[in-house]
Amino acid sequence: VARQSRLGSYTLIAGNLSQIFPGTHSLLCLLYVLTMPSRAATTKPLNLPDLSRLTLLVVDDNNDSVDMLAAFLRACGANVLEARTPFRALGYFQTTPRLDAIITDLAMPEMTGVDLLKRVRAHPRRSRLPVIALTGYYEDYAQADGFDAFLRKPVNFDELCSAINRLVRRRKST
Amino acid sequence: LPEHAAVIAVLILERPMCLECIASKSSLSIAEAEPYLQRIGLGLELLVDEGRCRTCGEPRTVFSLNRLS
Repeated sequence: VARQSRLGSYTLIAGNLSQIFPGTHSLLCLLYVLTMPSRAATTKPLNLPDLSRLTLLVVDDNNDSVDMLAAFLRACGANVLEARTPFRALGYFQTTPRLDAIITDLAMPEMTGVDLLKRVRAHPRRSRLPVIALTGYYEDYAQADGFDAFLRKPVNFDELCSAINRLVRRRKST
Repeated sequence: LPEHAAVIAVLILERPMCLECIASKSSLSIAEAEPYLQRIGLGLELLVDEGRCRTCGEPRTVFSLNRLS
């Protein structure tokens, strides 16, 4: 008989010893097997948004930002490509068969996120790709048009994931 | 990545935690853990509050990632 207790799961096994050892008196044997709960069974899963099956491109010249965002997006199940420069991001356009969304910083040397957006919109195959802007200089770029979402840095993680899911769904439905 | 930063970020993902506990759980000294928190705060919205640490129970400055409820 298998049961659950506060200590874990246990199994009660009952039998007649005379069947095992002929000649002995009939004796009911109770065996109590305590099984400690496995670590996996007791660990509460993290309450993370679901981004599985998505390929996301994170573009930021700040290593810490891109590392941190990529780590969290991967923890949510996404396949994450990291680009430290917009030029590297453009390289991914040519080499990556599937891309679901771009999350880009705006203030970057050589090419800003706004310029990167223009390149995306002019691209023959990627023009409808959702592009999410992240910036610490929100006021400077408040007039920037064309982004599918515009989020302030440091970003609220749930807000970012929610924007990604919403935009990817919207793109698929059109 | 800075694996420590990822570990710390996950530690404070669901519960406010004091610097002492963050350091202890990520196998760092307090002096080492603090810069990682600053780096996390550059990219992700970090809440710094006075409250009870959900790990040790002490009333201290606690850190958590801001989540939408």
